[in-house]
Parts: sequence; structure tokens; C-alpha cells
Amino acid sequence: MNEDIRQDSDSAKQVGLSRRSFLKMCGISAIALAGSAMVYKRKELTGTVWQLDPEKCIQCGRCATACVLTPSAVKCVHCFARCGYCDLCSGYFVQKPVALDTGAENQLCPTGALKRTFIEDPYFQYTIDEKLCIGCGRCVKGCADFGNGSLFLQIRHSRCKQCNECAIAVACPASAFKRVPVTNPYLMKTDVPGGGKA
Amino acid sequence: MNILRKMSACLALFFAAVPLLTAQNRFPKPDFTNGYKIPELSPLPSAASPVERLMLSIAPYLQYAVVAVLLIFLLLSCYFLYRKRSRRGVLVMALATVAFFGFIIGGCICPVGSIQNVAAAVFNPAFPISPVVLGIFLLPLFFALFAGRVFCGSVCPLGTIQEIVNFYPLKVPPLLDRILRTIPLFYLGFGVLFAATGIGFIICRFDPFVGLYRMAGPFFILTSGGGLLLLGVFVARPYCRYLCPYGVLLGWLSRLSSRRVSITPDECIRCRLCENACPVDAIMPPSPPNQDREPMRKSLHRIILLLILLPMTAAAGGVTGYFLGNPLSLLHPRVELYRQVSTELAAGERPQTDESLAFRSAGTPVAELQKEVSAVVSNIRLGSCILGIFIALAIMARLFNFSKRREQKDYQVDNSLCVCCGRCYNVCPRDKRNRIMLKESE
Amino acid sequence: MKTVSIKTRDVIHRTALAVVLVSSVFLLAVVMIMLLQYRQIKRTEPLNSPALSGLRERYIADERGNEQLKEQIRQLDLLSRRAWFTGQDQLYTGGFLIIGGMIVLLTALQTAASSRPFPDTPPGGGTSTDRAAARARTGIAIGAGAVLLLAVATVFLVKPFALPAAKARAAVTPQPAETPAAPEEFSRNWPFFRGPDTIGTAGDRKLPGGWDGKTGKGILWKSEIPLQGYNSPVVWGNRVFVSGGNKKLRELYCFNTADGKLLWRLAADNIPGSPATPPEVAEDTGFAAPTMAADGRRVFAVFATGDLVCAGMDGKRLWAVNLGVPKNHYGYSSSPVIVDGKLIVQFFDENRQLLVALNTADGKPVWSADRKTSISWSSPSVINIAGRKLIVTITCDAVEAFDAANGSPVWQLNCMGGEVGTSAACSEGRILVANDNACAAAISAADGKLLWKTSELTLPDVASPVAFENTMYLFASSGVVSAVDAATGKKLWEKELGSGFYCSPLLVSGRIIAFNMEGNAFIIKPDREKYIQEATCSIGEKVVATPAVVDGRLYIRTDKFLYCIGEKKE
Repeated sequence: MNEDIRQDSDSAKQVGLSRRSFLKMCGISAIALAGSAMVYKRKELTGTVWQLDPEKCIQCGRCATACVLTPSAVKCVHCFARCGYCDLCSGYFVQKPVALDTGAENQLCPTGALKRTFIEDPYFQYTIDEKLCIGCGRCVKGCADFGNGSLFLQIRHSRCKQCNECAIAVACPASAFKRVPVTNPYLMKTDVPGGGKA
Repeated sequence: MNILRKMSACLALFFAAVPLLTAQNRFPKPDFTNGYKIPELSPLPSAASPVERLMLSIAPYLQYAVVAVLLIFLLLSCYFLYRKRSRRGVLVMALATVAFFGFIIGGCICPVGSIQNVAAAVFNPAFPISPVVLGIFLLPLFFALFAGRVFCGSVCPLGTIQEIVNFYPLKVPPLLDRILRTIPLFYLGFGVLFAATGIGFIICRFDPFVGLYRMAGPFFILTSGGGLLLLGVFVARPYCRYLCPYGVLLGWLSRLSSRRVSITPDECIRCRLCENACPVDAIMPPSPPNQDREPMRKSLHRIILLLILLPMTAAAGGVTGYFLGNPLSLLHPRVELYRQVSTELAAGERPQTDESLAFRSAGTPVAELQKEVSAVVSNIRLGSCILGIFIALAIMARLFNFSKRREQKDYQVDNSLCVCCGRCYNVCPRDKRNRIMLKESE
Repeated sequence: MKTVSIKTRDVIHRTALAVVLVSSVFLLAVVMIMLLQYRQIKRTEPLNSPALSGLRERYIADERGNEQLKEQIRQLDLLSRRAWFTGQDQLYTGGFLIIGGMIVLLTALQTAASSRPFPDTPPGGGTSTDRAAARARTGIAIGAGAVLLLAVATVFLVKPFALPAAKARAAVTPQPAETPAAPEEFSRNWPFFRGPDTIGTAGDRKLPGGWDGKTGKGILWKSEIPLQGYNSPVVWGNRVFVSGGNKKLRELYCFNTADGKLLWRLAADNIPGSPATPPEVAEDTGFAAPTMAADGRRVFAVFATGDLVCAGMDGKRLWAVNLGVPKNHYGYSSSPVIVDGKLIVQFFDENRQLLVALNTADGKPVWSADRKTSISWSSPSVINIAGRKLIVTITCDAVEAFDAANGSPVWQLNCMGGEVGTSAACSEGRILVANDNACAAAISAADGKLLWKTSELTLPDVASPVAFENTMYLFASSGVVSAVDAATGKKLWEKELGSGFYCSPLLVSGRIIAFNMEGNAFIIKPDREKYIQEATCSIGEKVVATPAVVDGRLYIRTDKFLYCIGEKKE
């Protein structure tokens, strides 16, 4: 470690320097080579950000707990184009609700972040209050199991810290997290399952 | 009753549900008669907050800006360290780093963690790596080649937070210090191995300070970060010295640097103040006169012995590494998944974990996973074997370094250990500013 | 550069130390409060409050409409949410307080450090260079040695990972060295719906003597089947297989022929593609109408959900697929058959009518015949004609024959109608079909030519016909039994027997046996002239499933039970 750097005699100094400069040349060329080779091999000039693929998501609920942030950077998004506007919304209500009203005993959302508004008989609109949503995915699971799957989870980039290794990606059982180009940072659902662009 | 009717109507619809594979929704889009228009998305991520929209639009450029700031910080640090010889300047840069790379950027991505990105990209062509990450990884190394570890002193967000809390540096017993200093080599080796084989980014996972910068994180990380900082008040830079894997790389390259921290601008008076003041024990005393030293042939014998031991050590490292590959592969998530799934299938059980449920409902054949897993395991074995040889060689090189005879005239810094904090400038009685102060106090 | 006097330096130093003290106390207090808060948040997290979820469950399960409980839930919900969110806010504020405190502390410490008096020269000489190097060598050796020891210990202490190769491969893939069961084994056992030949003729098998469900006479054993199903028992060796199911669960069962003990049961769950909500089925079809199939190495069961499960004879699941959810207004009910290592499944849906052959070893499709025809509830039959194996299927508009080897269509005849539930019979090269609301017809098995067709009969709609010596016997749901000349389609005789037949008749040792809906079995001597009843026995329960006859024993499935009828061996 504590290698001699400056030698006593002039001759030794010269030898030391020339050896060092040779090694340095090696170091520089190695760094430059490695760098240019990697840049040449890949064309990814834009950066990437983390995102979760809603088609792979199994709604295990770990998004709410595994994120380094509390509440999580993952929040629910609603694709209205796919929503059936059901009265008995399986994302809003617990299974076998006693009444179809906004009582806490009937609601699935633990924070009351899913809001239900009457449109016309028998249709209701469901919107997400993003401030309250903690990304637990309960409504998403309800909607995926019995509904159209119009509710889904996404990493909100206004909150995400872009950790080098996303903690939720490590915890995700379905490997639904991946890096996407920063220019197109959301993976949205469209009006029909697996359908084309909406 | 009305409710019941609606419920039963809805239930009937449930049962009539068309399977998803026909690409139709279970519940058709309603035809609204009161003029209600279906909104696009809720909340609209691209339009909801102007701040987010702005951040998204500049994000690609922001990443390059981070590299530019890194370069500027490195240049400024060199200026303060070598041109101005100012400890205060270094400290200001450290504070700026804590503020910018720490609290503003949020800790990621830093050169320390980028080792893993580079390792993963080198060994796995599918791993995405942007020139930004590459730049962040290479810039400090490049500077180390020419100017030593300036990065550690004032541009590393992990190092600087320890630097600014280190007020009462105590000496670590030299033997203990030497023992602990071997840890980073292993940390680097395993960090690269784990990243390259897909086990995970352990260096990021156990980054103790990033949680403090984000003011959020797992309890364990937050407390260990706090604990390290508390320790750092008395023991200078515990993470940098005894853990940091990037420091190993910087140390290697900085040995080639011809520029280094020159403690005194003047003639050394051998007062030993700097040796005492150096928080990381990087200042080496001058060698004593020849009659007080061990005979030349002793070091020669040692070197010969090391050369004889070299192949054996390398072999031992390789063998140990190869066998260690087996337990290490258990850490890989796919291997764990395979173990879970195969035990479940053998016992005829339903999925016990979310991972196995996700895998089994995705319909991927187990044989495919098995193929993947055996490839992973053999990769880990091979990697671990190479790692064993590599670490054995590195250890031997270190021993070799301390076996040869060292000649040195004055108190000088060891470039591979010096973290460029500039503390020695402040204590050298030959320093211009100190001379003035000392004169006044007399 | 400005310098300050020693005295001022000293004052600054003391003040700084005081600030250090105050700010450390402040920081410590904030950290303590935050730790408590953190604990509080973990406890009241709205996601896992056991008190709240317990109340909710109680309310939904048994105390619906309990106003007091409802109020309690609402209040607790509000409280816990408020606590959680304010706790979050407080933690966030706490974080900023810590940063602020840290800035003050660090500045003070910095000031204190920089105003410290200039250090004195340390006494004594430094450490010898050689000694330092020796110490460094020892240190490196100890460090490396410790890690080496740790590595070796890990290698020895961590259980060697049974590499997927060895253990798991055997568990996942079936044994490659297996030999398929010989054709004789198939004909000795009862592997399919309507027996080994799939057309209800079982050759020379001994039928047990009389029995009586009420007195228990002739009943060797009687076992309860956990889940209901209308599929018929299949028998291989000393095992009887049936399946059962309801909306929630579908299962396969294996009983011991010796004592009727349930040897194993296997749930057909977690099958990729299986629907979360099973399709709706009619009550008299159920979720487990298709009869299982066995090849002596594996058994196969199909359910109304489209789930197809393959299990080993020991009850281990080997593979499972979902064929797609059959959209079928009564419920899917077609039983599979096995031909030369291929499992033939007729799969109906309103949109697709598939006949697929799957490799019995791994469930991979071998061939698939996609055709445009209509739905039916009938099962495919295997007919040997001129050394070629034909799969004969009946749909609501056509009778079709496919080559069992590659699935290519051999012939098709559009002669059916109504909703077909019966399967084909065969006699003297003629395929005989009969279904209510359609017709009875005979088709030449070789070329698919229509030989005759008539609607002037009392036709069955569930029980398949059985043929013997140029005669077709029909057992209708109305309870009418008739004999028809297979060559011309002329009615020979007709007999009214009271309760209707759902169970398909079987021809065993020259006798026809059929159960009616009341559980009465009629043993009839086939005769072209008149109805000859040899015996009638009652099991005392409704019988829908077709029985299996093996080794002088009769296996009957009723709604809840599996009966084994036979003579006790002394």
C-alpha cells in the first residue's frame, strides 16, 4: 500500500517516474477503452427510470411497504376508458358489502382514497385522491379479479427517488418492475385488455 | 330492494364474464345519456402537476447536468487542494456536495453504486447502462490517475458527510486498522460478483447514508447510517476506510498519480504534527538511517517466500471461491424461486409464496426456469472461482508491497490512502497561514 | 488573511462548545420522539390494524345491520387514518428539525474545532518503518485469513444446495423409462366413460348378483365422495377414480377398490389461465360432468372451468392446463378418451369447437382439429374400422369422424339437431346415433354415408344408445325403452319403465344393464322380439352416472356416494 513514491537518488526517481507514466498510460487507455466500448455497444443515449408493468402486477401489496419512501412512490391510476362504471364496484367495495354506500365498513380502500360519485343510474365514477393513496393495490386487486382491470398501479415520478436498485423491484414477486426510457416513463393501460393504443 | 336488484344484476353480469383472452371487458363501456364525458386517466400523470411535467421534460438533460456538476466539483476541489492549499475550501466543497449530491439528487446515482451498473453491463449485455452512469463511474477514476483521491475528499456524498462530522479523530490501533482495511477488497469483489450474476446490488442495498439524504428508508439502514455518523465523530470516515469498494479502485489508480497532497510547502522540520493530524493514517514517516533497519536480505527472503506461495494462494482462493459459489447461489432470487416452486410441485402443494404464485400463474414451464437457474448457478460458481483467485492475488500484492524495502526522506502522504481532506495543511507549522498565527501568539 | 487573537479564539471555542451541548440535547430529544412516532405509525398503519379488520369481518359475516358495530367501525377507521397521516406529517417535520439541528451542531463543532489552540509538537520518536510494515503484513494476513475461514465455514455449514438437476428434475418431469399400458390392460380395466371401447359394450365380464341399497345386500363398501359431480367412475387396477367440484373447488379422488378408502384427493387449482370466477353451469350438469380418463400411468380430469389436470396414479399432479373457459349454457360435459398416448378432448365454446389431442406425458398439443360446427354435450368415441382408429363426435348439427393419428377429418354428415347430449354407438360397421328433438340415424363408419334416419321413435336426450347384434337399444329420459333395427331404423318394440334414464346403458356379457333416475337397475336380455327383463335391483338413490364393471364388481356413483357391488370373497 504505502509504496514509495519519491526515491532518493535522481536515477531512481527517473526510473520510478517512467514506470509510473507507463502504468498511467495503461490505466488511461484501459478506462478510455472500456468507456468507449460500452458506449459503442449500446445505443441507450437517454437515461432510464423505474416503472412497473401493470400487466405483470399480481397486486401482492408490497409496493406500499417495500418502497424506501413512506407513503410509497407507487400510487393507483384509473383508466376510465376501461372502467365499467359499475354500481357494485369490486375495487371500491369489500366482498359482499352490506350496502352500496360510502360507509367505511363497506370500503376496500384503507385510506379512503377512492372516491365514488354518481353519474346517472346505474353508473358511478371512481376517482383516486392521490394525496391519500398509499399504493397498497387493494382496489387494483378487486378490479382485476372481478372487474375490467381499469385500476392499476404506477410509480409516480414526482415522488420516485430513482434509486439505483429500486427496493420494490427487489421485493416484487412478479418481476413487474423494469427500467423504461425517461422520455416515456409510464406504462399505461388502454381501453381493452392487451389492446392497441387508446 | 332496489339495491338487491342492482346487486343481482351486477352479479349476473359477473357470471357472464367473458374471459379476458378474448380482449373484451367484463363490463362494457356504458352509454351515458346525460352528456357525461369519459375522462382520459385519473390522476393524469402527464398533466396533473406542472412540476412533474417540467421535471419529466428536462429529465434527460438533467442527467447530463449531474455529470457536468460532478466534473466542475472535481475541478474546483483540485483547485482548492493543490493551488490554494485550503482546508476551508475543501470543506466548503464537501458541504456543497452534501447539499447537492446528497439532499438534492437524493444520493442516487453515485460513483460507488455505479460500479455495479458497470459490472452488470459488462457481464450481461441486456442490462441498460447510459453514458451518464458510465461518466459518473469513470470521472473520479480519471481524476484519481492524475490528482489522487480528490473525489473522496470533497465530491463523494458518502465521504463528505463523514468528513464534516469528524471532529475528534482518534487513532485506530494500527494492527486493527490494517485488518479492517482488507474488508473493502472483499466488499468490492462480492459487489461486482453479485451485480454481474444478477443476485442484486448489495452496495446500494447497504448504503448507510442514502437513507439519511432521502429522510426515508428501512429502519435498519437509517439507524446504521446514524450509528456510522456517530462513530465518525471519533473514528475518521469509518465507511470510506473499512467498507467503501470504490475506494479500492481509487486507491489503485491514485498510486499512479504524480500529483499528491504535499504537506508542507517548505522544508519539512519533522515535527510529526501532520502524522498525528492525519485522520486516515496516510502520512508515512521518513525511513530511519540504515544501521537501524533490518538487513536487506531479510526483505529479499520474504519476497522469495511470497513468490513461492503465490500460485498456492491463488489456487486456494480459486477452490474456496468455487465451493462458495454453491451457498452464494442461494441468494439469487431465481434460484430461491426455483427451490420454492420445485418443492411445492414435488409435494403437490398450492403456491405458498407470492413469488411462486406469480410464477405459476404466468404459465412459464418449470423446465424453462430450471434451465435458467442451472445457468445462473454455473455462472455464480465460475464468477466466485475467478473472484477467489483475484482476491488472493490482490492480497498477495498487498503483502508484497509491505515486504519490500521502503526508502523515504520526509513525512509524505501515501497517495492510495490519502483522502485529500487537507487537514495536514492546517497543522503544518511551515504553512504560510500557520506561520503568521504562530508568530502572533508568541 | 485575517487572524484573531488567542483570547478571542478561546471565547469562540467555549461558546461553540456550549452550542454543541444544547444542539446535541435538542437532536437527541427529536430523535427519541421520532422513534416513538415511528413505532406508533407502524402500529396504527391503516393497512394492518387487526382491531379494525376484525370488526369489519364480524360486521360483514354475521352482524350485518348492527348499527352500533357500524358506528364503531367508522370511528375506528377515521381515528386510525388520522393517526397515520398526522404521524407521517410529524415524521416529515421531524426530519427537517433534525437537519436544522445538525446544521447548528456541525457549525458549532466546526467553529470549536477551528478555534482549538494550535497543537503542540508530539513527544517521542515515530514508529519504525520496518515495524510498521511488519504490522501491516500481520494485519493483512489476519484480515484475509478471517475471511477465508468465514468462507470455508459457509461452504461447510450452509446445507449443500440440491442443485435443481438432481432432486427436482425427477419431481417435475415424469419418469422417461415408462412403458405405456398394453391394449389388453385397457380392455381389462374401465378407463373411460362407457367402458374401454367408449361405446358401452364391455364384452365378457361377470355381473354381480343381486343387491339392495336398503338392506345393504351385495354392497361391498360405500364411500362418501367429498364433492358432488355427475361424472362416472373409472377403474384401473385396484383404484377407482372420480372427480367432483363446485363453484369454489374442483377435485380428483382416488378410492381403493378393496375397501373403498379414499387414497388421495388432488385439488385442481392454481392452473394458469383458470378463471377467477368459474362460469355459470346448470344444476344438473355441475362443474364435474366429464368423466375422468386413465391410462394406467396417469389419470386425467376435465372440469367446467376448462381446467384439465393430469395426475400420477399416486395422486401427484403432473401437469395442468386451462383449455379456455367453455362458454356453455348448461356447463361443459364432454369426457376425454385416450388413444395411443394421446388424450382426445372435445372442447366446446360458443365461438370455438375444437377437438384436440394432447400428449399424455406433458399436455403439449399433438394435433388440433378446429372446425365450424355447433356446441354439444356429447363425448367422443373411438371406433376401430378397417385398421384405422376414428374419433367420432356428435355436435348439434353434425356427426363427424376424425383420424385419431393426425386429427384430419375423415367424413362429416349434417344430420343432427336440437341439443345433443348422447354419444355414439356402433354395430356391424354402422355408427348409430340418437338424440331427442333430432333423430336416430345410422351412418356407414367407413365413408360417412347416411344409411337411414328416422324421428318416429322415443329418443333419449342424455343416455347414449347401446347396440347388440344388429339392434340398437334406446333408453329415453321419459322412461321408455325401445329396440330399433340397426339395419333399417324400424322400431322392434317399446316398453314403458316408469322413471327416466340419464345413465347410459351398458352391454355386459350379453346382458344390458341400465339404471333409471330412481336408482333401479334393469338387467335386460337383448331380444329383437320382445322386452325380457331378467332382474331388477335397487340402490335406493338417484343414479345419473354410468357404472363401471370390473372383475365381477359394479361401481356405482350416486349424488354423494360411491358404491361397490360384488360378492364377498370368503
